[in-house]
Amino acid sequence: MLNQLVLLNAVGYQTTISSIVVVTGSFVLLLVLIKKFAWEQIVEVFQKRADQINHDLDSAEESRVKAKKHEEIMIQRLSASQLEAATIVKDAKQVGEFNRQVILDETKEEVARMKEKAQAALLNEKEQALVEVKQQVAQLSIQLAEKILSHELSLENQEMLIDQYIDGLGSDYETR
Amino acid sequence: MKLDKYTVGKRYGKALFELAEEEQVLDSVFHDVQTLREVIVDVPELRLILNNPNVPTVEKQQLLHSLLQEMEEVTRHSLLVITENHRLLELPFIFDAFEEAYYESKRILKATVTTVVPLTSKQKEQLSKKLIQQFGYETVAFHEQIDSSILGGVILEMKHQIIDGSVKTRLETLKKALSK
Repeated sequence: MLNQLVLLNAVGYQTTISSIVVVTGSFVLLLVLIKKFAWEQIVEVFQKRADQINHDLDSAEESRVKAKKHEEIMIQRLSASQLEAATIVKDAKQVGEFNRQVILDETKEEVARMKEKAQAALLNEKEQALVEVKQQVAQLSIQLAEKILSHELSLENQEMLIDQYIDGLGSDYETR
Repeated sequence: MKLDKYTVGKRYGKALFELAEEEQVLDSVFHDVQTLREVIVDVPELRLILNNPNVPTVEKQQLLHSLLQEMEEVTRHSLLVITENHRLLELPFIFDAFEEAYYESKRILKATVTTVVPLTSKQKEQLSKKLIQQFGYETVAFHEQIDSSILGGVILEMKHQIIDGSVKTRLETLKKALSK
């Protein structure tokens, strides 16, 4: 039994060494093969990857710088726009104020004109009414006088009027 | 060119006057004209017939002929010419022009006097004296008109002038002054 175990152990020991040799050999072979056939590609892939990463890093930096510049420009523009907006608002306010003043002045003038016109019309109407009243009074007075005279003038009075006319002929009466 | 009635009246009236003067029948023709005026006023139908364009000229002439039988040759002849020339419408203006020329030749001032009551003879005399003095005529022939609408005073019309001394006109003047 013990022999068997020693034998087995001796066999096992031999197997382990051979396995190590084989595995090591295989590994070396693998390394050789890799070195011969795939190393360059692998290095190339890694190099590419490294380049890509470096490139990306550079791009990112560039983008950041660009973004920074862009931001500054935008800030400048914004400031300019704000200034411009302020100027526009100020101008608009001034124009608005000016227009308001103009409209106010014009309205005041128009109102004054209308008032003046209305007063003139009123005065004219008043004068017209006065003239009409005068005319009516004159008309009535004359009608009344005509009526009285047509009835009241006696023959003597009529003859006296004729005598007066004859006396005043050549000086007192209007010729037409 | 169509002549107005005044121009026609003046031309025919002057012709009638000159013819009458030439024939030395001025007073007779003047008398005829006065008579014809009266007839036309008294018989308005006569004027209607004479002015009617539908009545033939020959008939008008016949009618005038009978009317003018007693009148001067100059009057008759002139009236027939006037009828022939279709100027009967202007007859009153022809008579006016003739009378004006007649009065001028006789140095008579023809005046129309409008009053409410008739003028007394004294008033007429005074008025006549004044007018002779003022206008330099020998006599004045008054044509008197009574018109109560003038209310009083006198309106005198002569030589295309009106001297208005009526109460009505004075009142009108007063009315104008009051209306101002």
